[in-house]
Amino acid sequence: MPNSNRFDTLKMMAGTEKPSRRDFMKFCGTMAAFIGMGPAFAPKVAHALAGKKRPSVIYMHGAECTGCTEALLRAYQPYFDEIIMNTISLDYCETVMASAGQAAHAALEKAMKNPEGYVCVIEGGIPTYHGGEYGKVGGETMFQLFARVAAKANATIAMGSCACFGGIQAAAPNPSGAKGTNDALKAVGVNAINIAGCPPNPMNFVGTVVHLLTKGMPELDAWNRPKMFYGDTVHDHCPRQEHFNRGEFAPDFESDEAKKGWCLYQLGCKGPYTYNNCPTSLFNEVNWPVQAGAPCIGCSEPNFWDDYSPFFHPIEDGPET
Amino acid sequence: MFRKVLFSVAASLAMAVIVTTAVAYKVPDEIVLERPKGNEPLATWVKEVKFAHGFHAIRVPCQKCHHKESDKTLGEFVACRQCHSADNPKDKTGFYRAWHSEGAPSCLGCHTQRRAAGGDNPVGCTTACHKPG
Repeated sequence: MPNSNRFDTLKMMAGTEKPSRRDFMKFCGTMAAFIGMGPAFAPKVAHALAGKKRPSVIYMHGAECTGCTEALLRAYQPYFDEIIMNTISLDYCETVMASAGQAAHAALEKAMKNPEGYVCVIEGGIPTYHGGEYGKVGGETMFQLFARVAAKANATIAMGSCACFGGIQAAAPNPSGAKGTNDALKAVGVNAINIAGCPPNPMNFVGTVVHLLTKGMPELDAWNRPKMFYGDTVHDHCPRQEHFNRGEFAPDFESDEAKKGWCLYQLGCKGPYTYNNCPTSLFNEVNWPVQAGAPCIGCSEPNFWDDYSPFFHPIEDGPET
Repeated sequence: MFRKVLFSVAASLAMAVIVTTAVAYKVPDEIVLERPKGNEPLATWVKEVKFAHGFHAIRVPCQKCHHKESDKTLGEFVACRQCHSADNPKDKTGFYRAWHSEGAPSCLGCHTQRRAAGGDNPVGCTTACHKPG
């Protein structure tokens, strides 16, 4: 059961019990396998995560829906609170921090002065029109604030499709001029790792952080996404692929064919053009859209929304066909 | 003087012949992408792809797709299937992945990347390559 050590975690947070070494090593083993290393790599993961100095992380929120944070909050192995308590030092995150207003902003400024440096995570698009006045935090535009924070960071991670490529914020007509992190902040030398998806699998984020801590920069694809997670298309590992190969396409969501688990290509599945690890890693190791009967909507691709909608029609076919 | 002119005309003619012979090779217009012998098709409904070779040849440098070729082998390029022949769709250098991996020279990779950069390159299975009928 995924929740087996939940109570232990709460006890640990209350300071009554230390986390079990066995649970911790189990997580390290899982994570070593997830980032493509053998079980023998687990001690190295453990060493990096159990280091005395936890890496400082500043988590910025731009034009977004907080869905990526919500996904991360639901991460288990480790739970999000465990990540905060054991692995990283989350010094600024508007969603989960207790302080507000000037106190919160002071925490951000303090974290940015950390002599060890910090990792900057950006979630959400960055509005750029009219000097970026469509999004402000503490009186400063997101555009300016993110440029200031990300330019000084040791590494920047763009979390979610909005931060990677603009996402729904950048969909036509894009009134706020929203852009992805690398697009908007190229001028200040930011080259962020893109964890694409709407939302991305939280394990892809945790796996990238672990990779950065243990082996450094992961290998990236043409869109700066880590190849270990975004190397294959959704179609490549889809459990419904055998139906695609046999030409067995569900004509309707209500049809018997759909209930039998036939391929959803004619219902608009974008799996053949979408690079992500949904079918292999699953969301919280439980399920993923196609398994639940919904076609892939191509959420981890650049231009997601404009190029991949309408969702329930095959690509390049308009709604009238 | 006349001799000199005659010589230069003859020399340039000879050069022209040499150059034309060197670059005279056929660039096929449409080719059918055939499966390597013994290779089992992955899908039952997918037909052979008629590839608009000429259309691509005037838009993309040859070596973008013929990635192992050089100027020395100009005109003697080999077909993709000669190397990419493995049956297994998960084999990174196999027949399936030659057309369906991320980035150029694979068809799908190149088209998705160009489309994301603002191009109108088709990527749909049945609208771009595996056209019915």
